[in-house]
Amino acid sequence: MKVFIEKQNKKVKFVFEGTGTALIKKLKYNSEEVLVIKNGELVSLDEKLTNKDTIKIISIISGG
Amino acid sequence: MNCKLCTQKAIIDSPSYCKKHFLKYVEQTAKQTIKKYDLLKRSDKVCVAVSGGKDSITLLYILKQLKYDVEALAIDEGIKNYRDETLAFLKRFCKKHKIKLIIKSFEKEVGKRLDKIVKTGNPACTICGTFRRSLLNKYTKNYDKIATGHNLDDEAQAVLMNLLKAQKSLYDRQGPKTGKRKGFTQKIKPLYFLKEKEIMIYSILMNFDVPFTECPYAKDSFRAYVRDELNLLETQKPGTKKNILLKYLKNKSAEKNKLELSFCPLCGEPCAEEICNSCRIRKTLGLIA
Repeated sequence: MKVFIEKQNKKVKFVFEGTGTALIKKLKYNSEEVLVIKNGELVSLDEKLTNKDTIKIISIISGG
Repeated sequence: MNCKLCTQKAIIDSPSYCKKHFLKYVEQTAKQTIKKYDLLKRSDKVCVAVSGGKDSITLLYILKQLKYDVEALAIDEGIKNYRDETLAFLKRFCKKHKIKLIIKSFEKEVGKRLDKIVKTGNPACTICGTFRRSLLNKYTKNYDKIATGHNLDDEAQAVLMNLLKAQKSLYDRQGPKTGKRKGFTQKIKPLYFLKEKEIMIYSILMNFDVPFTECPYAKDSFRAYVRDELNLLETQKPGTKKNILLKYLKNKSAEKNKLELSFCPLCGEPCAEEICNSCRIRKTLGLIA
């Protein structure tokens, strides 16, 4: 699975199959602080993700 | 998971809504908050305090859609690699939506950019907040209300922060609107019951294209620690943030703010002491005599 972590401007690649919640946990993020974009579309955290998917992790936290 | 109101796929878990129903939910929540807490009258002239982030942009857009008489005021604190990008975005956004945008800068109004003030070891958030509040009040005298993009996360954090610091007078002043006091333009918070995450999703679905920014000085603030702990609690016990606000509003002291106010002899803004906080800081920094 290809994952782009927007906040760190970092691309990572690893084997993963599971839900958005499980991916966030694996990446050690808090589900209150990030959103999961699967193949360009925002998905709910119970969405199944596979190795073929391109994932983007967007950080919610900003300071204005 | 499907939307709880139709057969479309949900884009958010809690509440589980599809795109169409989620957008409606956000707009309805803001509308209901305005109505329930009597935040706005149809005749009100509203100044939206904008930073160019997702919260203030969403607020500006929703109030404009609801056909309120809105204008926007942004404060340029002078933070390199942060504010320039958001101001450029704000200018484009306001032009597109035909909203008047006013920009006031620390450099012109206070006498120094925040970056330079902080270099001499001064606490960024305290100084920035004081100057921002002062400028916001100073330049909104011709408006009936100042609308700010504070969301449910911000407000739950503020309740906890004031509790942890035992700041009773500040604690009692929280809520969807401030009281009316001579010299102050009343502040309202139509996004009070919307989570930060919900506002982020709204801004993505609406293609606002808000630049991702985090103030370089915000990371080490007391608020950031409270935010992280509260987010941890929310994942373990969903609904914690909203419950904090609901219980706070239920138990909020009805006692009026009795603090005697006068007007600062240096700038004319309301103050509780001999001079206002903003002028006191400016004096300490050597920006005024």
